[in-house]
Amino acid sequence: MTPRGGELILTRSDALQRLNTVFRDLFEDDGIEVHDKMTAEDVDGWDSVTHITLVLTTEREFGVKFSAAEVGALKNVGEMIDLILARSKK
Amino acid sequence: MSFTSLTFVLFAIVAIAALRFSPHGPPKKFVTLLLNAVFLTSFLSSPIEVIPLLAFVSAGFLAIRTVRTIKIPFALAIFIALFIGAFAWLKQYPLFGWFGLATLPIMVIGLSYILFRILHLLIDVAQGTSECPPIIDYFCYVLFFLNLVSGPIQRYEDFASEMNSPPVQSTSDDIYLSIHRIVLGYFMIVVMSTIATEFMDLGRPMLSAALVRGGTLDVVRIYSLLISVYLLNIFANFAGYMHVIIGIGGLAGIRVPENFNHPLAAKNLGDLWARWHMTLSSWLKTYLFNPLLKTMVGRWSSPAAAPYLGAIAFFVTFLVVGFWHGTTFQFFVYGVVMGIGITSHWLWQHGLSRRMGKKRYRELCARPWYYELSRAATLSFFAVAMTCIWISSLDLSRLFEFRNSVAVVVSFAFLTVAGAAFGGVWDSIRDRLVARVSWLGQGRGPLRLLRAFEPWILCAVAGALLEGAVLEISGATAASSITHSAVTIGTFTALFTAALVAGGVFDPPMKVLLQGSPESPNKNDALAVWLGLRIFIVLNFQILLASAVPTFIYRAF
Amino acid sequence: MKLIRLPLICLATVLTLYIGAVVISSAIFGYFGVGRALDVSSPSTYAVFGDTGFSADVYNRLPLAKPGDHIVLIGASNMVPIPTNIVASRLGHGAVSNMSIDGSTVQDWPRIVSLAYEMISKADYRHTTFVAGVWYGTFLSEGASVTSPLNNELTRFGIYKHDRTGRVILAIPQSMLPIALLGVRPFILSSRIWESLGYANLTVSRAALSGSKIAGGADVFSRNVAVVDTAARRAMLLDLRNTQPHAVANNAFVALGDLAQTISQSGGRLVIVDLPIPSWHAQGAPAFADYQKRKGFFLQQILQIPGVSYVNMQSGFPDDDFYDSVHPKPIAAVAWAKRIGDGIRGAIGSPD
Repeated sequence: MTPRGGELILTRSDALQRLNTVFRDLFEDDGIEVHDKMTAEDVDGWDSVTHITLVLTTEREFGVKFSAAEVGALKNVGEMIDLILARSKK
Repeated sequence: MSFTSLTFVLFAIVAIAALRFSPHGPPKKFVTLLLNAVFLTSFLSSPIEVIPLLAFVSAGFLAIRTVRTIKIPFALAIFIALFIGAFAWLKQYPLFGWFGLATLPIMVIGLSYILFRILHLLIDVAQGTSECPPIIDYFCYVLFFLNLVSGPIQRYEDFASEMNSPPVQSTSDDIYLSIHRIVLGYFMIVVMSTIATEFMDLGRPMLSAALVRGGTLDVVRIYSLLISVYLLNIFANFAGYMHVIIGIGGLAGIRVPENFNHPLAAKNLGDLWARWHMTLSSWLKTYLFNPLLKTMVGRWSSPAAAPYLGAIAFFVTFLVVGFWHGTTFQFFVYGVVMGIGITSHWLWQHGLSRRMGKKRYRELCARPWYYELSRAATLSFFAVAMTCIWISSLDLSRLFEFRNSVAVVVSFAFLTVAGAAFGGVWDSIRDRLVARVSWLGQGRGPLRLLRAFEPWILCAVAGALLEGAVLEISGATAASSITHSAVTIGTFTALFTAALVAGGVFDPPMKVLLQGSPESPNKNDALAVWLGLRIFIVLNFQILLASAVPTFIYRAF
Repeated sequence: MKLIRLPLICLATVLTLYIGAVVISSAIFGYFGVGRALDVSSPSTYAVFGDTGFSADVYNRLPLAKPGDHIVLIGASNMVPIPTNIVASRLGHGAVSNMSIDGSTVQDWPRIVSLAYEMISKADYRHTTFVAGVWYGTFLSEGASVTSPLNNELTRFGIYKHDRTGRVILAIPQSMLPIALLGVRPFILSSRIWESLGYANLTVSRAALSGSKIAGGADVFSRNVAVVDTAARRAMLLDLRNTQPHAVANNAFVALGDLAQTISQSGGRLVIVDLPIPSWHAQGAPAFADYQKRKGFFLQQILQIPGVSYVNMQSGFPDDDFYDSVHPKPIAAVAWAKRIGDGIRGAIGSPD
């Protein structure tokens, strides 16, 4: 995180890295490398139920809350990162 | 107005012209509002009937407007509960019925869909994802005539972008595709669904009789036939209607979301619901399944519990699907059966992939025999579940008797095995047919023409053999002379081929044959004539079967 | 706009195909000769319109529009087989049509008459003679029998519609009716084809659902050689006694009287022909005795209406003419037709 005028700003690479840790813990796979275009197809065990666990863990990790529509519209990791960054600014 | 009436055709033409040629923004919205009003009014026999509906929709707007600013705790939850309650009251659900609406004539067409549109906006605005729409846009969206009766549940943002941004440039290929979809849709409704409905009408009394005094084998035979035909019936009716709607939207320059994606190719029950009535499952996933599961997991988080919480969430979601489809006890049973099915599928999938390891599970799913069996079991289960929709309540209670329940299970097993075998054969033939289509239309001169007629010849022979065999086995031709049988078979084959032409089955080879060189400016003209021929055939069927065309899907919700 | 080219070509194709279909179906109608006369007795009419009288009566009315004299036969199933060309040969001139409907009662005939009047030109109303073939069976019902299927046929293609009270009326101006009847021809043919297939497919569906083979249907052409033996006669009479009323309906004679008034007021004529039934049937049916008893008084009244005459055909035809208790064999129908023709000529003189 880069300090700027007293505030800690979240950068994209930071977010990506932290999200990677979340993925690795949740899916019990140290080989996961998240990237923007990654979807549920690319990860074994990422189904409708673990998706919700993922969302919940992500919300807790970054201290944000997603709305129902936002969760429903997520298509890939990249969009998830965008959402995290957008929410973190508020 | 009925979708197969001349009034609707004229209305659609006017709507298409009005929407396509009105500039985006306020003029388009005004035109849409007018069209919505005209369409809605066509269902009324007196103005009073529409008041509850309009009140419901207007209340929706007020709620959406105030949900963020109102200083009540849990405002969103209260509003949601109020709207669902009002919906249940207006639709006369059992527990709400006695609050006195039973005798009044109210129009509740499309209320189920309207409820979901209002809830979606309510939740999105409350959670900050969207802004409250302007009142004109709101009324355009909630009462949009294409989506009103049975239409896809479109998200507000998508609809708004259609209204506000200039339409994407349509090419003549787009126009062709839209008209093709309209013709295909009408074909599915007017021909396939009508014939299937007549079969159902024939078979229902026979089933009733067999449930009471027939043998188990009789029940199995009749029940298997009826549920298979009903599955095709509802698919032809619903998906056909969607084709018409999306085609009209395409001509008008408005994108309407898809609701079906080859559901008959579904791998399992979960996949089926991702292909059948897609906008419904997508809505429920976003606004019911996800939040519900999130709440449960948040409260009882443990990695082991999550799959079972998922099963509960699935069950509840499909229970709601049952309730949403209808107000009677049968729909509750439908929801329960579907819930059990989905939960079983989920637990099976989860359990098996855990046991075998994810990679081996995927390999298993890809094996043809597993795929065919899984698909056949899915469709058979779906067909059994949908019994609740067409069967009478008396017969439904009879189905639960031991002997008849056994028959249901045997029917399911039989259809699964037969379906898997048929699916296997079909898939292997289809690949070869597709390979042949690309071979068609090649070569020069008369050879090209001859090859182009191959589909007809194949169809004619197949149809004749099929009908001949069926007539012979059933004994229908026993008393007729050879000439009479030959004429019957010949006529049937001709009609069968005409129906396939109308349904667009021969479009791929005709496209190859007729389009000539891709550079010619009027390459679509010959195709347009072909499309005109298809329209003419469907119109003929429509006039022939006019009195028999079912409209059950349109009025169900 | 270029985009409109495709839909316009589609529309043009549909219209061209439709006009082509009308032309082709008219050619087929011509080949079968149904355009010459509206005759429910002819095999051509059966081939094109099916074996119920409804379709022909509704859609084959164009011959009625021809200027000149018209003789229109109406009645029930025993009037259906009467061939119009035989009747015409006894009359010398005038166009003879047969609009009888199987199963109709006397209360149905005003509707058929009104259908005829829709096509006959007003100038020819006074040159129109209706010939009603009665027998006691047409007087047994309190009301009309075939309204429902007739209405179904009328409203099938939208030429007629239900008004607010449920009555079936013309949906188009009467002047457009001939064009509509012409334009509907392709659909008549296609529905005919569909029906003939429908029977086959219905049989198949039933067989599939019931798991057993279905027996075939009966043969119409065996009627000419049918013999009604004593046992069959007894069975038929027993059946009649159990199913039929034993007396004529109260308003049936009145209905015929009203019809006579209507026809007379339009300037036309009505010839009532009393059709024969086998002697064993006459002796065994109580309703026939009632009919014979009551018709004298009624005939006295009705014959006072101008233009109404009566021809009694009840005697002079052997029992062998019938293939069941009521209906003439096809050969016998020819003899009946000659007698009817002579009777009409005798009743009204030469048509003027």
